[in-house]
Amino acid sequence: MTRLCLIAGVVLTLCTGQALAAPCGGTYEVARGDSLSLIANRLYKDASKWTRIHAENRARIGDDPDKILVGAKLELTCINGLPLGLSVVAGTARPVEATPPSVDADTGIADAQPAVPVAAAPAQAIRVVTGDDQIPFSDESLPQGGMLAEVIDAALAAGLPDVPVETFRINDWGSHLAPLLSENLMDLSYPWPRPDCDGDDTPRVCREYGFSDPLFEMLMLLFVDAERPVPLVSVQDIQGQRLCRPAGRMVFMLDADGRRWLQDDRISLVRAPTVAACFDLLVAGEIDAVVVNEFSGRAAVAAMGLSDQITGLSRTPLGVVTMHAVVSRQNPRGSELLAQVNEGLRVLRRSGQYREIVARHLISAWAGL
Amino acid sequence: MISVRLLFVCAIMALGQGVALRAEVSLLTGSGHPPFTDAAWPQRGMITELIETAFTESPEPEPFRLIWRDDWDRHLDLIRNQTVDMAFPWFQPLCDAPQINDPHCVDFHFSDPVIDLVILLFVRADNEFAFTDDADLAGRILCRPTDVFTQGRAEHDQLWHKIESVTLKQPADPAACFDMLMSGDVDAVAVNEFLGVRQLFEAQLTEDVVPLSRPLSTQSLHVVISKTHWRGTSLMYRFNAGLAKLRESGAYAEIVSRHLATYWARLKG
Repeated sequence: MTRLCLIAGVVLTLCTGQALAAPCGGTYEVARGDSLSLIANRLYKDASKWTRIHAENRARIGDDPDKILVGAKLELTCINGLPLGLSVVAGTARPVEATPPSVDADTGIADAQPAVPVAAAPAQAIRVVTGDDQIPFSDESLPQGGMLAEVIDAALAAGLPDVPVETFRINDWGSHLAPLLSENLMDLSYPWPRPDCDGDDTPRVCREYGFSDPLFEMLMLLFVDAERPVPLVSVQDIQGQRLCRPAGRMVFMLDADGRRWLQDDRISLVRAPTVAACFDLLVAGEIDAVVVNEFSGRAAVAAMGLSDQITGLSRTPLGVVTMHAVVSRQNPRGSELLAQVNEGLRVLRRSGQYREIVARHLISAWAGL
Repeated sequence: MISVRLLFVCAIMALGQGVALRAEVSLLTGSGHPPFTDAAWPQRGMITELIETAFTESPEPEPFRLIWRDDWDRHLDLIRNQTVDMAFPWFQPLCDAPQINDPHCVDFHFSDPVIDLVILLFVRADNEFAFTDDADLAGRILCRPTDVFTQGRAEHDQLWHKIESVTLKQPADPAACFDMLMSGDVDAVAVNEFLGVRQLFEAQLTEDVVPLSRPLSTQSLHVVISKTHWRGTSLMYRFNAGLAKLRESGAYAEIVSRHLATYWARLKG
């Protein structure tokens, strides 16, 4: 708790036991790169409060919440004790009883950040980690490092125009979420498929990590020997089968949609270091199917000259998966970074740049098959 | 209208982090092709109803909305540049045939066939036209109107590749083909069964022109999406799976037979 107080200057007074009244609410001047959701996330700790900001400043902003001008002065009313530290204009702010920062019951980590606009602080580089062997999405050999490397670079440039970005390629995918993100050694990792985070039984990864808006959508497939007699559709087909999934990649799809292949020990899971290594095992007859997304799978099959031998079961996919950028919920700037990535993605989608990037990479991908 | 839409966007965005800002899937079609797609037809057409029902029945269904535009010649460009997500109904070229290097095969994913159409030869009732083998067409003059769904690309018909001595006439208006048939300028009109029979009733030619029982070919109608769309394969999978479900449940047969009954009733009425 002491350390927390040193980090968050605003909270310092609380630790001394003096419940001082801090001015809450006030005037905020729009900075370059701001959007209403970014402002809401930074100052109210809740991106969805942008609707309140918009509603209360409609006279200044107009009907379109996306059109805010740098230098415009927004009046931010006090909601649940936030925002603090803004310049106070007579009549807009009122003193409130300062409330202690919320503390996560599981982790004991407080949701405390300096309550000042980030634009005022020196920009600290965003550390982004990706890796190879995710064709056509991310691989050093691909133009611009791959489709989603280019999308993320462009989204960060649009969402955080003044913040430097350092990108690392670390091919041990199993290290990305933990420890690289969980220990705050890196801020953002991509691309990752997202399990069903909205279902009754929320997977742990959804509680510990935040997922960006979808970057891409496709099918997760089983790739099998084209001559294979068993179709791998029903529970009986799958019993005792040996499936290969490249190391470090998520395996939720093997249990999704009531499948429970892993949970019920119906299959044996083989982890090979790369997509190609999985296909080597398939050709050698040591496994029965490779579990990989349709694009990476088809690219590997074509590159290995196996198109006549191996087929992806696209009629019976393991499901539709979306690819995302991921932050740790332990990262103090994680949720803001995610909001900025999403804002950048929206900018790219509106301008047509997203479509152009995706199309360029997909044309190459389809031409190579 | 603006405020309603804005509220809707706000509601989605307010769901917060990790929730995708998903627009509806837009489906482009046009009117004027009863019983397939026509704004004035029951359920706006047989194919429209099949496609809407298939999307509703698809796994992980996505909300969708229909867009109606009657400038058919622009539809595929709007799919290419992704102004809209998907379009229907379109013929699929023979993408696997080695002699066909069709840009449509490069640009689009085609769904499973939504319906198969039979292309028949319509001939004068007083003219003996033996058609027991494709070779019987050698030296014949056929009229094949340019078709909006093929964008005038009659070369998609397999037959023209097999019989080189067929002479083709291609007016835009199918009625012109039947005029040429009656004036003796062509030997037969090659059109799908629905279009041909409708022309016979409209031109009052039901006594003078007959379809030959042997089909010239079949052509299937499909949903298309750009191969460069960010969710091209997954949207197509959803649609195909929904369509397969309709066929299995019997809903497909019910929809088709209901529209056919309406079509015949209107032709004869």
